[in-house]
Amino acid sequence: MVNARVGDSARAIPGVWQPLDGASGVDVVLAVDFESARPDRGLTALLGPFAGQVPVLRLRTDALPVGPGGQGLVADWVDGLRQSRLRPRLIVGYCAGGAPACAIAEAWGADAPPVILLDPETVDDRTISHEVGAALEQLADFLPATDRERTVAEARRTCREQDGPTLVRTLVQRYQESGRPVFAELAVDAQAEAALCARLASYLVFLVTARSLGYSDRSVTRLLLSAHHDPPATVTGPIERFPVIRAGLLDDPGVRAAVAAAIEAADL
Amino acid sequence: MTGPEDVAALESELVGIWQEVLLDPTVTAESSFWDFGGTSLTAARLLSTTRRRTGRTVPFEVLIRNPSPRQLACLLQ
Repeated sequence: MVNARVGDSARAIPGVWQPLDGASGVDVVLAVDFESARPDRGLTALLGPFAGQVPVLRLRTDALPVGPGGQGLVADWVDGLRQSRLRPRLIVGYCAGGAPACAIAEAWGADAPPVILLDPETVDDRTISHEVGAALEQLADFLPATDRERTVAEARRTCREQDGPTLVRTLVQRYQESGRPVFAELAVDAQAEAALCARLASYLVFLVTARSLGYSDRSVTRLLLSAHHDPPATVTGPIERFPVIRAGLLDDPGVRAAVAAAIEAADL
Repeated sequence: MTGPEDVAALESELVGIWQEVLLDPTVTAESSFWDFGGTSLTAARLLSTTRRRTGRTVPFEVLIRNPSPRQLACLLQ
């Protein structure tokens, strides 16, 4: 069978991977983070400029199923590559995408590609409940602070008690219940409300998956870190630290050069 | 059949919706929703208002990838 090539046809790649516009080929770079809504943010912005020279696939996270989670989701991601006869030659993980990036490399098995992590983050109960709070923050003009704080505290308790799809459904339901009066006041219709909740659900699936995967004694090819970020204790590898705050890491020229060198070393 | 006038009219309607939801009268046809402080919630308001005013249903992901009134009007023409 002739290998599918990124760029030959979008249909060649099952829906979990999205090719960034540009080069075609069977040997690919994988970008693993939660896809920011803005194309000028996250790994799309960092790796996009390389996509003209090498094939780059980013993990699609805009509609993750509230289903398998954990290793089941990782298996789907790896199957998507295998079905298309694509070979990852480098995996780049950012923030909460660190644990999934490592898990993809491990699931690939023999001939696992090198893994570069940028400010890898451990996802725990606190992280997840914080993100629920961030979603509620958007309702701050309409929802009293006490209501938001109560919902976040409940979310933290729920994170300790539940996991997987059950946890995601519970958290989204609480967000929806908290937000419903606001949605009504802002004339957000049912369809848009459902889309809003689906996007939150997708984000929570990603975080809950990252939490369940964790980093158990992971050795990676390289860790690129902002000035004050420490990697999870169980992740080891050569560290390169950059004198920037976390928000500026992906825009740093030194980081871009380090990623360029890794891509060159991958010999795509 | 949709002509350039229809696209321009739709674009103008969308600019008005953008200005109203983003609370900023300086929004133009080329303004990105994100550059004017757009959030998931304001995106939901934009989609609802667009549907109510124009009868067009725009999926969330379409707005995300086409964040200006002009881009969206061209897509919806």
